Amino acid sequence: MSLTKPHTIKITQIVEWNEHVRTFFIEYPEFLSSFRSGQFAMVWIPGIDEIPLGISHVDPLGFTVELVGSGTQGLFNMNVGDYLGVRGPLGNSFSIIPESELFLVVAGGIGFAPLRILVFDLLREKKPVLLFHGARTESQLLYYPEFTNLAEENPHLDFFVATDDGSCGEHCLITKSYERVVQEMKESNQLQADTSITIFGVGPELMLKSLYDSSLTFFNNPKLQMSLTDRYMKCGTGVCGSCNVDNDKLGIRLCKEGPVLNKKQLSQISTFGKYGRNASGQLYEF
Amino acid sequence: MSAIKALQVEITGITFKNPFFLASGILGATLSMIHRVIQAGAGGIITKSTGIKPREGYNNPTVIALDNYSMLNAVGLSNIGVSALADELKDQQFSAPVFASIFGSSADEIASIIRVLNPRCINGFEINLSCPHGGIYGAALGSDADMVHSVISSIVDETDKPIWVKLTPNVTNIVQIARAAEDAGASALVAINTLKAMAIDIRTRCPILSNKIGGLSGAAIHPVAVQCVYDLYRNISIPIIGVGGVITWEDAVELMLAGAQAVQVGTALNWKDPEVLFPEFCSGLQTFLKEEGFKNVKDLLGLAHEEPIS
Repeated sequence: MSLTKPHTIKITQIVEWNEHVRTFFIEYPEFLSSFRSGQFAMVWIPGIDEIPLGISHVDPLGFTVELVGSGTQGLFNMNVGDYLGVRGPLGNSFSIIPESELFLVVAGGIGFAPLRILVFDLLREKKPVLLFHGARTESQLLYYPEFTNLAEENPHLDFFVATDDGSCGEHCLITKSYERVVQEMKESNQLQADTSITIFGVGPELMLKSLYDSSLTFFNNPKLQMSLTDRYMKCGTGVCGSCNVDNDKLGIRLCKEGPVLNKKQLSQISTFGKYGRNASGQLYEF
Repeated sequence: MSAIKALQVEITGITFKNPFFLASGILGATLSMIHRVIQAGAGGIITKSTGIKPREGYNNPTVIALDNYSMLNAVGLSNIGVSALADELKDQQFSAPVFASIFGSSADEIASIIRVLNPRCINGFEINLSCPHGGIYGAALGSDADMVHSVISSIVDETDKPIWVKLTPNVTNIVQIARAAEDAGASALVAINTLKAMAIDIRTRCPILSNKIGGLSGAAIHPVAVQCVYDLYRNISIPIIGVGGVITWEDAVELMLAGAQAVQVGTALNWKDPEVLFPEFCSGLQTFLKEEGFKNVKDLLGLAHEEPIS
């Protein structure tokens, strides 16, 4: 049911996390019931724009959104009771690989939004999870109290936080925090290079590239699943080509074959961590 | 004749291994996607339309799917501009013919785009005179027979490669426009581009496309395309490439019987990946030819114009 017109649905609740981040809740539409974590929806702000948004909450359904441009500004101007147009679920999803012994989830900034449900999915299956979340400053950390409490209660979850200004957690980039933790676990023999491991990442592409590089150094055969949410996406239905990534002859569209890409696909993207393409298709540096 | 050769067509001097091409504007023109669609089995590729300068196109929503394999779009001719495209095409080799779709606001603009792309490894040009939502860049040029004649006659000498002209159905008399293109020296006609259309959300009372007006494609317009191709075939001598709502190989056969030498596929790829669609089309057509006792796909050309089989 993903190929449709936008279905107009009322906003039921808006939670403001900070000046720039809000979660918009809507009545759960039947057509989104097949949603799996990592997928997204195209959300139409009537008369203004339509933007791809990761689903951060289910039941009620919520999109956590960072204010970045005119489309999200239009969304931030909306109130409870206003209509949004929604179509989805779109794209592929994260997959929980059964043989993995440990799951590392790395969330940069607003990248936590599509990973939130994945963490709950992993914990429901009693998988051991190390969750890393980084932001510029304390007020921009997402779901901080929720996951701090969860980590205290749930023996399967460890939660690590880093901020660029040191206002909360480690004073470094989240990828540095990740590297430190993994290094220490390797030194204390809690982890080996050949440990079967899955690493999920969503955040700025430079963060993902750094996570990709360090993970390949730490582990012999890590399973990687990264969502390239930094890249420009337009139609969301696989038609317009705006989110095609430059990768040899595979012709991957992030809205259809992505947004979650695996290690092999990432290794084939010549522009990974270097260049994206803007609305007209021109290359720009990350 | 071998089964493979049975699907082979030659149009305007270019040989295509099968008569199913990727329509312009679909799946984007990035090199990696062109290679993918060729590998999937497309007989030819028409790139996303290129203009003289980069264009961002319209705000979203730009593409919405409708019921029954139809689609409404107003992407707004977003493209990277001809010089960036020419750079990316440098040293590229494709294993199937690739036509560059181009648009411009004047004959001079179109001519200069052809000059830049001509040395690249493309096999021909498709002139987009028919985008229904491109303002001065599209159907505005293609709706006036005199203008079409003047644009095409002033660009035909820019290249030795074939020039196909893509027609809009949003005119009173498509044959008149087609004749102007033919008289001016076009090598072939591509019919049809999308039909002007719109959709309104009833709760917000708001047109859904940001451009409000867009182009309708897919199953909904297939009978219109069949009629246009039928009409063109009766009145025009140069080859016709059919496009419009080709969702199955049967739809393609219908266009061929009306007078199309090959077809382009667009909207159907919203529902089916190229790796599934093109092989499905080829084997469907091959079986059909065999069942009906035809040696080659070109034997189907225009048969609907003859006396029906009793």
